[in-house]
This record gives sequence, structure tokens and C-alpha cells, in this order.
Amino acid sequence: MELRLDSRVNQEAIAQASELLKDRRIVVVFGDRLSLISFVLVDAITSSLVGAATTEEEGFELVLRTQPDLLICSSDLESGYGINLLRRVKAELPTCQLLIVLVRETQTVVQEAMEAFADGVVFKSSLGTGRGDLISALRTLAEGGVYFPEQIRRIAASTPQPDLPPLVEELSPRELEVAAGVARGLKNNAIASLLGLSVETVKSHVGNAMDKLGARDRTQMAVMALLYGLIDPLQ
Amino acid sequence: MSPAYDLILESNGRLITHTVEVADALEAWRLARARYPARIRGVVWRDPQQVHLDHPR
Repeated sequence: MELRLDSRVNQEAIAQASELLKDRRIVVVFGDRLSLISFVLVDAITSSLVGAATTEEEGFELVLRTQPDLLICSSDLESGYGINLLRRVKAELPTCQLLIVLVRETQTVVQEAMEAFADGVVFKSSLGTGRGDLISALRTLAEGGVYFPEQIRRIAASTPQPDLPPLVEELSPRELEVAAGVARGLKNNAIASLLGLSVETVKSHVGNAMDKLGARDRTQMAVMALLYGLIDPLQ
Repeated sequence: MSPAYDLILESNGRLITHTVEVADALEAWRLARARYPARIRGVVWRDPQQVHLDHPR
């Protein structure tokens, strides 16, 4: 890979990272010293950095001492384990958001990171590809959300696909949007506001979607839509 | 009384639901992600006005 620091993609990424991180207090813990030094020397990181380390123990001690609101760590550390660090930090400082960079791309490690309450997960191999995973993760965390890129969600959150009969009638695009809103926990008025529809129209779409999926209530409708792979509320 | 939400969870290859009473959808997601981070698939607000049908329509 030829790294072009002056490329438009890189310049935009740096500008976005600066904006997203400007008021944050960040601790970075990477096992690889060269990666750590390179990462923390990026202006966007440096200006918000309160500490950096290469081991689980050093990282934990830094978190306790500096009380960051964002920990960025890699799964592999010089000693210890990044996912253990997440668990320990979440127990001691639950307000600190946790972003982990996974070196191994296996279902087990992804599940482990999710169960350690990672707020964001990215694969190391995705960094520098121009896909924007890191920026997307930072943006989602800044909005208070949880970030797992599609590739990771596919690995960790495969929804069971039992043998289902084909649908007699496909759901319309609008019905799919409404069904997705239902499965995100939205009330009818919130879905109406989101999609620019009246509440009555939303109710009508909910009823139609229930009919087509053979569901007797909103919950069953959401379950059926998930089983048919029609919606992804985690998106 | 707080509104009720159904958490849709993956369990041993199938989807199950678990009802919780929380302030809003954000709180339901927060709780779901804290308790079932790897299993949560969706959250549904239980509409108290909704007529539950005995048979699919």
C-alpha cells in the first residue's frame, strides 16, 4: 500500500477525527509500540490524549489515574489482553466508552468483545483501507451509540434462518421501513416523524406488514421480519 | 407505569422475547446491550392500544 498523507480521503479522515475528538479525553493502549506511537502522533489524537500504554496493567492504571471518557485499545497487548482491559475498565469506570481494534477476525473474539461491553469494534485489517470504519466508529460513539461494522455484525449476530415458507406477498419498501422502525423500539408517532408520515398511515403500514408476515402483534411482526432477513435493527 | 418493551434475543439458534418496563426505547436498548450484548436482535414497544389477534390475519 502506498500511503499518501495528502490524499483527499486521508485529509478528510483527519479533519473528521479532529472534529469528533476535540473535547474528549482519550487513553490509547496498543500492544505494538510502532502502531501506538504512529497513532498518538496524529494531531487529532494528540490534542485529546491523556495517556498511552502498551500493556493491560499500564492501561488500567492510566485509566484509573486519568479518568478518560474514551479508551481505544487493541486486542493484542505487550502483556495482558485488550478484552480483559475492557472488562476491568467497564467495571471501574462505566462512563468510559470502549473502542477495540481486533487483530483476529473470528466469531469467538468478536463475541468476547461484545460481551466485554465494547462500545465499538473495528478490525485492524480495515484500518487504512479507505472504508472509514474508524471514523464511523468515532462518530457513532460521539452520538452515544454502539458501533459494529456490517462485517462484524454478520459474524457475531447471525439471526437464525429456519425453514420458512415463501411470503405470499412481499412487503413494500415503506412497510419495510416501518417494520424496521418497530424493531428499533420506536412508537408509531416516532416512526411517523422519522418517515414524514401521519400516525394513521404508520398504523396502516404496521397492519399490512403484520398481515403479510402472518403476525398477530408488533413483536411477532418484528420477529418474523428478522427471521425472513427483511430488516436489520442493529444497522 | 413505565411503558413495556419486548427485547428480541437470539437463544440457541432461535429468537425469543423478554419484556421489560423502562422509560423509553433508548433505555431498552441500553439495558439490552448491557445484559445481552451478543444476543440482542431488536426491541419492540408494546402498543397498549393494539388488539392482539388470536389468529393471524
